[in-house]
Amino acid sequence: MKKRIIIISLAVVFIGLGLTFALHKGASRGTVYLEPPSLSIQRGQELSINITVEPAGWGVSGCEVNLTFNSSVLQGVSIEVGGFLGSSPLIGLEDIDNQAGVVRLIMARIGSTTTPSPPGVLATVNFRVSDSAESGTYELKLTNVGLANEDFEDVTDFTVRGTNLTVSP
Amino acid sequence: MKRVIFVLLGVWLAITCLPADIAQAQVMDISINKDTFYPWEMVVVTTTVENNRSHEVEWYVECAFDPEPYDALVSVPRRHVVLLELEPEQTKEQGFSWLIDDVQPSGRYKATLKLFENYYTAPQMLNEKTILFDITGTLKIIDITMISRGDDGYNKTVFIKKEKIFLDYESEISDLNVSGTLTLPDESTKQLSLPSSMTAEQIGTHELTITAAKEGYKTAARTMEFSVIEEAPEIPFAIPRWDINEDGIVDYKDLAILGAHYGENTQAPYPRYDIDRDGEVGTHDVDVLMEHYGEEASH
Repeated sequence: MKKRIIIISLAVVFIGLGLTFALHKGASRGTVYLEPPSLSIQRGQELSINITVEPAGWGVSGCEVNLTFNSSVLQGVSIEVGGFLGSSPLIGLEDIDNQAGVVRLIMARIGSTTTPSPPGVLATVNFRVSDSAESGTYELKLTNVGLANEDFEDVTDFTVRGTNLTVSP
Repeated sequence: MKRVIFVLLGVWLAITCLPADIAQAQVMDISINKDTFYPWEMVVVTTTVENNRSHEVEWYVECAFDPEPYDALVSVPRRHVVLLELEPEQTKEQGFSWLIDDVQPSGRYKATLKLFENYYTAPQMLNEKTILFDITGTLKIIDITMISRGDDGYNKTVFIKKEKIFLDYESEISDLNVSGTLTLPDESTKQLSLPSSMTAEQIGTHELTITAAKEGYKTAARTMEFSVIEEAPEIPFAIPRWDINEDGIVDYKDLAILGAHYGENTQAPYPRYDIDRDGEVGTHDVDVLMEHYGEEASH
């Protein structure tokens, strides 16, 4: 009986350790996401969406991000560069294509990259909801996301998350 | 009260005496013997200088004849400098001459006279006068540049065997009669009238000598060389400079490397992030990289 209790206790400890390790591993993945995660808005109103990067121990020296949207619902108005890549990053491309429904950003940090890079807003994109937009829920997605680390190599351990926009009359 | 009178007297003396030694120090006039000159006539420019200073002076007068507007191709290589020693209130006349020869192009010219103090130590110009005149009846200069061009429309001087060669010239003067002699690598010659075209046949250096003529202009002669080679040299594949990290694709990683060195000065051999090799990592490098963004290079 005593032996069984010891075995069960050891099993619980190992399972606990395994879970902790797994959770820790999961938490170490960085994220590139849009915020707010969801938003309700009316036709004709304006909204701002942040493209935020949360690194997990690595630095970010450069990046490429596409934000896709439904162009019959939203129209991109402007892009404000955030402070994630420094106060004055190098802008390779900063473009809103309202026909294709895509915002394209290609940027890099000027100077050296410290590790880890603190989380921050890469850019804020301002949109306007079309007056003729149909009510419903629409998704804004991040696609073609690429990050370069402090050694100018691809970062692979990150996830990407978009946002949902609910339009009402 | 006395002090005030002395001060006012001093001010009056300064106002009346000083300008006489500076602003009214001299009077300079210029004149010319004629307005228009033909070949072998003499241009004579005369200046009259008066010393209004209260002491003896040593001034220099410099005279230059130049085309108006200035044209380096027909410049006149003559500068005269003459010393004038003048007692107080003395006036002297000085002449400068130039004999026009028959190769001096027709056109408008000017004579410039400058009056200097301390000409050879710390020159200070006291006065300057110019006068215009015309030269006529002489021949004008033909400005002409020879061109050899390939099938691709680019100017070049090395051609591949069997390639079409276009020989031409550029000049701002219209209706020129341009003809010449082409000496081939085997020493044989061929008469040409430009523009002309030929097929590259003989391997080696070709020499083309031309003369350009037009009534009223001095006949110009020019010589140029171009070569014909058997085949184009093989150029090994080179990764384009805008693929900075040489990974075969131009992307944000290349931009990140450029950003890390942005604003730096470089020197030969230029690092890859100074894409345009101008010695500075800047906006033009970013422009070139973005122009090729997304391109893939195959090794």
